[in-house]
Amino acid sequence: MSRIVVERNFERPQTDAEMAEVADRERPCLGVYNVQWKRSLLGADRMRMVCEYEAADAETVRKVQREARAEFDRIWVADVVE
Amino acid sequence: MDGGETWCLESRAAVGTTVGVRVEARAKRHRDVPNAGGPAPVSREPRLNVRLLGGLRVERDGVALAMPPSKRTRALLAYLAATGRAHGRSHLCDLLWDGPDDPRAELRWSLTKLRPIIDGAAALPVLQTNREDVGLRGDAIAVDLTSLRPLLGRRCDTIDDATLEATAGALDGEFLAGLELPGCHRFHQWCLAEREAWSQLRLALLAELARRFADRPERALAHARAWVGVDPYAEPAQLALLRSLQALGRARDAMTHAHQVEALFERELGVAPSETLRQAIREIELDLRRRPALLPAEPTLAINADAVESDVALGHLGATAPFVGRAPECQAIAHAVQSLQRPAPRPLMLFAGEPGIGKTRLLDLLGQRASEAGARVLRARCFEAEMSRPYGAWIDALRDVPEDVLAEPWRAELAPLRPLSDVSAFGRGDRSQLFEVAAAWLNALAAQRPLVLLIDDLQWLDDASAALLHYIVRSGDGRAPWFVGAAARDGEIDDNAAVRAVLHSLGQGARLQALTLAPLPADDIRTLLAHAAPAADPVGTHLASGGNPWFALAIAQNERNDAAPRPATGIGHDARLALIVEPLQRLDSAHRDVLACAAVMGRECRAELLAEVLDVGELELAQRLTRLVRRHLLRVAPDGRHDFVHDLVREAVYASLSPAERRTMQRRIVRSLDRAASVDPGLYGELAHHAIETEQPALAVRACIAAARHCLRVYANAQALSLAERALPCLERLPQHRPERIAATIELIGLRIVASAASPNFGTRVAGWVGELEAGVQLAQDAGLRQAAAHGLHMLSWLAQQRNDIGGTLDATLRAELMSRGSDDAARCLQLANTGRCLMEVESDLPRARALIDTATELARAQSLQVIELEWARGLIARWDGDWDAALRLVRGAVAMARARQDGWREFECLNWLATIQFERGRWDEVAALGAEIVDVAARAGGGLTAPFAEALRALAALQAEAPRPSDATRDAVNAGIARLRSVDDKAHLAYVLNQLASFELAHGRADAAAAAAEEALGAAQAVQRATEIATSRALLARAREWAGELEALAASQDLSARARRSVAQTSNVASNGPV
Repeated sequence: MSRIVVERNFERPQTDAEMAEVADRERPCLGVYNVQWKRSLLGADRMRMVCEYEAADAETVRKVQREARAEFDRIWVADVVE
Repeated sequence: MDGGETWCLESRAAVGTTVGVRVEARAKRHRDVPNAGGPAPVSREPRLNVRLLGGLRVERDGVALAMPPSKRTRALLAYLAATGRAHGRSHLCDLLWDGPDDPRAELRWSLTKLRPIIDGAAALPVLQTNREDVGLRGDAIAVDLTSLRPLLGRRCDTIDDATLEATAGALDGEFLAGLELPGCHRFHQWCLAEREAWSQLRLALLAELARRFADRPERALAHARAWVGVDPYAEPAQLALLRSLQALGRARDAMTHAHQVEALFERELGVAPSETLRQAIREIELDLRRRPALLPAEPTLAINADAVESDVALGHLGATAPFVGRAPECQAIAHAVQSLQRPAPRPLMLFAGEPGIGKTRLLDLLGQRASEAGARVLRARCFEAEMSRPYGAWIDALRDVPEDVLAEPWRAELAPLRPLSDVSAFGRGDRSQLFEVAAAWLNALAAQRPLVLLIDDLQWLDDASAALLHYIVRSGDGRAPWFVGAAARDGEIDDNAAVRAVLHSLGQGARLQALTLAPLPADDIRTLLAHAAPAADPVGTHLASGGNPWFALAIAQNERNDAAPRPATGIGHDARLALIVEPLQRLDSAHRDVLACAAVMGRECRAELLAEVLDVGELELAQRLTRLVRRHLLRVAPDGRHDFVHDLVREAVYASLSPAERRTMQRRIVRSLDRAASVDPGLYGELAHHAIETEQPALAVRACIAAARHCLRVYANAQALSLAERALPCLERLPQHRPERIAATIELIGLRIVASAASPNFGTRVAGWVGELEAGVQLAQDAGLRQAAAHGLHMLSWLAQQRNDIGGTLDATLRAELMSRGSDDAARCLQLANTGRCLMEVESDLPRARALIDTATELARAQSLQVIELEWARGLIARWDGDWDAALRLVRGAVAMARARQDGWREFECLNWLATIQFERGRWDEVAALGAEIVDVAARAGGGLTAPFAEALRALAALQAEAPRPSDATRDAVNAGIARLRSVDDKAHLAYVLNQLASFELAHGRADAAAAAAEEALGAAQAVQRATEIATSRALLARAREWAGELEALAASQDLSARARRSVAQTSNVASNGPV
């Protein structure tokens, strides 16, 4: 499994309700496509977000995002450096 | 020489290098001009200079022309000048008169007002019109923006210093300042977009100037200041100002300003200063510590509010100024008040005239006289920002009626005219019922005690109030002692079709007494000044004010305060506003904020809302309001509310705010109104106005819908229609396929249908609405929005009924019924199909996938649903089973549905599957065509959609078509496609393409290349667990490497697709019969 990073930029600050709505749409897709959400980092201005997933490939994560109508700018495969 | 040049210019003018309008029309006019037989019937004609920045101003020979008072007429001229070309009459009607029954007549009327002003003595008409088009003659006008337009979109760093500075200066004024027409949403949207474009250009120019002159701080400072003035919330602007101040050795000023910026950001934006700003502040601190002895004592930037406040008063402009002149009007008032004593016809008494001419004073006098005669006086004032509030004037007038006077049953029946009333039970009767009750109640009230109803600023009366006013005045028989007095800006009445129609109708029936107020003669101005400003020069002030008493006092006051020199002659509206702005500039920020907030709200001060928006305690607010009353900027209405002493003050305060300040204030107002509207639905119209202005489309759509619903309940259909149409541009800005957009689309169509059901052109619009509703219902069904779909179907049923289409009515009603009953089933169908399709795509748990899709198919059949996901999923099952024809048919159906619903992503995905199926059928041409289509769809759909798989498949199809010896270019294309799939990390498609390549290589005897491709395919397929590709690649590898044992094991496997089984069988045959 690869670490996949999704970058998102929003036109206006995201509310908790808006994020929860997207997460609700995303949840069933994650299961079917065998993608695991690991964590998300939300900008202090709530207008930027980076999400980390574990999946077989980046395209699967792209599909999940589109299925869930989640906005994104870039999706890329990452190596974890600790 | 000079004559020759002139001749050239004149010749061009005669030929007519003009904007758009047909030449024949001009030529005819030209022929009609009497000609003495000279060389050309033209003279050197001065060009009209049209200024659009900082408010519309038109000059001929350096002399400003008096513009028509009608805002729409001025907007028409501005639009023609700004766009620089001719426009169709229908376009101009849509832009400015979308609503009145005869918009073409409105346009003609406006043109008749413009023509004498614009054409003047020009030999050829400047205003060029024919039956279809309207335009301005291009060689006769010079528009300020023409030379600036090429700079839009140009990089600022390529512009020279002089042009930069000149352009930044020229853009100082706001585009068409003061020409807002929120009621004409198309014009308003265009105006806002233009403003935004010019404002962005100015910001970019100022930023470039501040950057370019960073090493010349004395020059940079002015630009940085201007930048901050335009956008005080832009941190780079504030940083540029701080650095300029610091570089000029004014560290203390810089530090004071830095603290103000910190406070501003915290208060307005709720954010702490960024690290860059903090660093700049630290540097200023260091600077201050390092060089304290060298610094001269600088004057502080902080303003001593108390010291300057005393200067800030419009002195006598409030009710304290004496009443002078107006003898005929006073006589008419006396006569009207006396008429209350006996049965008599009492027409609507209307005072008309320009702003500041004394209309409100006469209305006050009328109220005072009536009150002295024992009458009850009810007052209302209309506001431009409130024209979408149904019965706003009546609600305000009835606010002062004591509860016991408006007891049951009146109270319930007049609920739409009462503030904070529950009108949820309304909307079932009709408007005439409400009007009858209102007239009966008014008569009953007047029977107790004579009644006078006063309405100020009638030019902004809302449609519903106008209709009720008409009914009331028309139905008055003179027995009950009441009458209505009103005041209006005469020119602006023409912009309000409803009010104009009411006045016209009342005039025809001798129920209107219109008193037009002329300028005061010099003697009256002298008397006025003798009381209010004895030191002022009465002759000069009379000349400068043009006999307008309000401005005469403003000029005298400014002169006394040395605030502004007295203008020499009569001045225009903008200059008059500037007279008021001048003293306001010296108010401290706390009091300016109160005025700014009230001005942006656009109506009288509502203390509770002001306190919330400004985040101040009620006591503090009350103190500020009292001080502003003392300065004669606000006044206290009889009901205790505060209001501007004159709408001109509100206009002036509004004009003095920068666009950024207005937007920030509006955003705060929106937040407060959003909360307040849930209690008082009458506020939704106001909320919609501010949400549109601040570009919050989701909120604007929601507020417009709520406001339109409210309007329909109280029979204000025209306002409901206007609100629903104002929401449409905002709706376009919501993300497609979001449930809120789909539901709002249907809701808005429904509101427009209901609101315009009684209009004469209803029949012509039905066909369009049916199409829009059908599309909306389909989208709602797909999204599982059953309620919205059912609502749309009910509307369709109703429309079919209107057209006497019995079949259509039954069909839509039945579908609506099914939709309402089976909302859970439809949502379930969609969910099941979606999950089943996903499982098929990833080839996981196939029995479950089949079961889910079967159930979804049953549900769809029972509910007559058409679901993209279901067709797509069934297509994938057919492919799995090897039924290519069915697979093609089903997936093609899914593509068509997705296309019809503009679902770009699903169209893209299904086209990819279609290409895959065609590839597997060996239809190389089809694959090539589909590949091109997919690339196109991906580009149109946006959202970063790319088509590496389609491109790779297209290259593979070319490879197959060119077999056995494909060209190098084709091989390169295949390799590039594979590389692209690797780079985007699409392993499932990579495995597929590599397997197809391996199969090709093996078929043509290139075992090593086949093994390499199949090996990589196997790795990718295993990573994403695609059983078909794993089996296929293993079979190909086995064949390539003659892994016989592996083949046997694969042949024994049961759970394989048709394609996988065929690969294994073919390979087994080859293995047993020897290599190809």
